[in-house]
Amino acid sequence: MKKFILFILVILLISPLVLISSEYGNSGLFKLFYANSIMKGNYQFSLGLDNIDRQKQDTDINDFYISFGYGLTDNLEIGGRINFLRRVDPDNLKDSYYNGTPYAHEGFYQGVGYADFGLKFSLSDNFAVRGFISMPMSDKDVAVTTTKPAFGGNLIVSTKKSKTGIFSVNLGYTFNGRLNKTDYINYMQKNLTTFVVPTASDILTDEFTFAAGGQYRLSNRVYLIGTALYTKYMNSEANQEDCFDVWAGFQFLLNKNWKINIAYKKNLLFTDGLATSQGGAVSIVYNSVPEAIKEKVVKEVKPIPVIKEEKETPPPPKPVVKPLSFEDTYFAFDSYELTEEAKTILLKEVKDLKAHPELNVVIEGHTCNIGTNAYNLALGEKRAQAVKDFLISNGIEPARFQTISYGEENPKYDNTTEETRRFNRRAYIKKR
Amino acid sequence: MKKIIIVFITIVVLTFFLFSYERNIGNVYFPSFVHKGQVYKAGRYKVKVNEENGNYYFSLFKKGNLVLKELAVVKPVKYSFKGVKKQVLKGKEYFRISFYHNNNLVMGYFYLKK
Repeated sequence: MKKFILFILVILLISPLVLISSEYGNSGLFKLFYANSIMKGNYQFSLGLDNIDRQKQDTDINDFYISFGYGLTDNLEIGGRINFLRRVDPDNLKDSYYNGTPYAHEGFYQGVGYADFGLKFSLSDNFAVRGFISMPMSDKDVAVTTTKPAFGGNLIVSTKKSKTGIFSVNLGYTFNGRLNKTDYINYMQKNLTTFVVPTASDILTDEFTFAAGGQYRLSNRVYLIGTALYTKYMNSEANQEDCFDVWAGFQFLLNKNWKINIAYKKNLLFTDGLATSQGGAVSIVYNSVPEAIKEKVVKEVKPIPVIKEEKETPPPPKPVVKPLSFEDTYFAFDSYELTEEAKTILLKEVKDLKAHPELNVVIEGHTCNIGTNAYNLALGEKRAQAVKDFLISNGIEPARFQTISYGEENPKYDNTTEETRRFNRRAYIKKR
Repeated sequence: MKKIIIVFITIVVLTFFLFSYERNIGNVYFPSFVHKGQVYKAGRYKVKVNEENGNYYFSLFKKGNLVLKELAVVKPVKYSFKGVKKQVLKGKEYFRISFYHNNNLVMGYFYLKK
């Protein structure tokens, strides 16, 4: 066991780290999943402890888990975990509610609970489906389960905004094969000194789950995190209490790879409203490509191509400052309609033209380089004409104007990106 | 059970109103192109589109790393179509990715290397 823990720690130390991981390895938070998948070739590990501290005379549980996730493609990720359940009753209540969970003093090996394996497919950044299988791994003598697996799936809807955070909603269903009545009786007869006749509530049934939550960015390094999980047990005969778990806490980004989640967990049982429990959840996670700092990665990661263009685009020429200067009037893509902003600028220019009645001007129409030359020449002419019409309608004599279209031939800014290309869609008033 | 489904659907609908738009275009083959004076090799890039402060951006990823972000050209249109169009425009000056969203044609123009 020590070797296994050592192996995990070594992997953690040599690996680049992850940002987002659910308890099950798939990207998410606690028992909530996000629609985004881990990118191809990237991976994540997490270690966590989900403690359930019940009221007196009921069993306390430590759920320690190790999880991993790996991006098979940009849209498909695998995830898995192994968890270790430990019963930590200070008063050693032997026959309390969770008989199957081994006592803390019975050792770590005996507490191995389940090995989960999940496959998540992102249909888009907002939708994903997940299938999973959960294999019980306990030693039968002290097992919390039988050897029967559980399996199920999740529908995941989430949204992500880099500046604010992530919000996700999950719908899940589990076909729970872990315990049935016969297994339970056999188990009780074999392991307990006092045989207890099983009641319907001792038998696990299929589960329907609904989860919602996410993370909200408070600062560059701190996120507010929260998850609510509602579990409904589908077998009405079992009369199991529907369960409502809530996690709330903070996520701290320790550096660009490591993060730690610390949360307070409250468990509410709907049916009787009495048997509540509370506890804590702590996990430490790492990711090879942290999602939340991708904006930063844009600046840090240099573009893949290395070919330098022989003919570099010249920097945009700075407009010459003139005693009486006019501003550019900008247009939307493939449009010659004056925007409200353009009209505001032109109204100022109307004042200048009225103040200088001796001044005659040329109105230039320009376009970006999208489209054919002929089309752009015509579009440039329409833009110049639109400006002319506006000035005339505001009282400037038509005889003072001349229009000319340069189309795409006289770009003022770089046309290889829309960030600057849009400023080439303009009209300019120039002294004649 | 019905209540749960109604709550789920309500939350999903609210989610889309409260949060900004994001679309995963998938892997797209690009001819060699130029962006901000830098030449990019031809090849497959994973493309995502998201909305930030009222603008749409095309983000190109390679091996999980964000390679570049390009501001989209948005043009109001009265027609609509499904899916995503990817085409080299006449004259081979631009490679364009376009799709319809909310009465707009959202287009990413990538200037082809000559």
